[in-house]
Amino acid sequence: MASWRLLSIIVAAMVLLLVFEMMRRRKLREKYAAIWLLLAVLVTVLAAVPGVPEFLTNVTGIITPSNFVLFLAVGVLGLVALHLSTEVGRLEEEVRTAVEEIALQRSDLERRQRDLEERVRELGGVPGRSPVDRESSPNRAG
Amino acid sequence: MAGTVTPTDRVLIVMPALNEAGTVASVVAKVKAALPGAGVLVVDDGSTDGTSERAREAGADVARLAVNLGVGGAMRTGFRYALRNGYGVVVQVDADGQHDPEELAALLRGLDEADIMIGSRFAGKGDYKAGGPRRWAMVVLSVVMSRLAKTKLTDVTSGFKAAGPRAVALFADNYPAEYLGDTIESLVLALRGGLVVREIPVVMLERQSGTPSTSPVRSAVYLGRAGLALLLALVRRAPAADRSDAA
Repeated sequence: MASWRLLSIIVAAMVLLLVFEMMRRRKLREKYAAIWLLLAVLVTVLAAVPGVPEFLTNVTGIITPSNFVLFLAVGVLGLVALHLSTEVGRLEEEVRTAVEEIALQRSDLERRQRDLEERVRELGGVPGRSPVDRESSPNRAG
Repeated sequence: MAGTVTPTDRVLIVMPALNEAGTVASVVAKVKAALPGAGVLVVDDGSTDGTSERAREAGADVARLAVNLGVGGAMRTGFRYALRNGYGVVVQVDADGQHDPEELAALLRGLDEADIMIGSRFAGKGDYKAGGPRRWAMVVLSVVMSRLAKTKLTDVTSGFKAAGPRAVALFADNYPAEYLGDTIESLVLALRGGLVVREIPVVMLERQSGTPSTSPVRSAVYLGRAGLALLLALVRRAPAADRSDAA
C-alpha cells in the first residue's frame, strides 16, 4: 500500500474520531457535524479504495490524481465557507431582532415605571422611595 | 391606494441617534415645539456618550439598542414601536440637527397622497450641494429610483422621511439592516409592495455636530456600495418568501 494512502486513511480516521468526540461533548451541532462526517467518509473512500481517485481523474480529464484530490478539496472547503457565511448572516439577523426587542421592552418598562410614579405622586405617596423604583433605577447606560 | 392617513392617526417622530449627546436634546425640544401632539422616540444605537440620558431629560421616549445596529436597525425598532403603541405615521428625523422641524408639517401633509414622503435636499429649496463621485452616485440612484417610482425623486438617500400607515406596517416587519438599506433598499421594498413614494423640497440645516464624509476615496467607495445595494435590492426576492425558507 502506498504510504500516501495510509496517511490519508489515518487523517480521515482522525477527522471521524474528532467529529464524533466533539458531538459527544456537545461542542458540535448535528447539522454541522454531518458535513464533516460526510467529508471524512469521502476521504476514507478515496484513500482506501485503490481505483477510485484514478478513475475519477480519468473521467474529469485531469492528469494526476493528486491534482484531482486537491481540486476537490478546494471546492469542498469553498462550499463549507459559503455555508458558514450564510449561517453568520442568519445569526446576525437573529441578534438584530433580539437587540431591537430588548430595546423596545426596556423602553416600555421605563414608560410604565414613569406612569406608575406619576400615579403614586397623584395619590400622595412618595414615588422616589418606592422599592420598585429603587431597585430598577440605577443608571442603565453602559 | 394612498391617502390612507386620517387626522386621528398619531404621529411618531423617530430619531436614530449615535453619540449625539450634544445635539439630541435641542432637536427633541424643537420637534416637540413644531409638533406638540406627536410622540418622540429616540433610538439610541449603542451610544457611549449619554445620548439616552439627554434624550430622556428632553422628554423623549428612549429605546436603547445594546449593540450598534446602524440606521436600519434603529428605524425598524422605531416602526415596531409605532405599531405596538398605536402610531399610524412615523417620521424619521436625524438627531444631529440637520433636518428642520419646521418642515414636518409639510412632510405630513404630503402623506395625504402618498405612503412615503421624502424631504429632498436637491428639489430646489436651499443650497445643499454634494460634489464628485458622491454626487454622481446620487444622480444615478435618483434616475433609477424615479423610474421605479414613476415620479421624480431627486434625493433618495435623504434621511428625512415620513411613512404612512401602510408603510409603517410593511417596515415594522422588513426594514433592511444592511448598508444603505435604510434609504435605497427600503424604498425599493416599498415600491415593489405597491406603495406610493413622493418628495417635497426641504432646506437642510448645517449639522450641529459631525462632519460629512468628503474624501474622494470614501466617495468612490460610497458609489460602489450604493450601486451594489441598488442591484441587490432590485434582484432580491420579496422578504415574505425569504422568511418562509429561512428556517
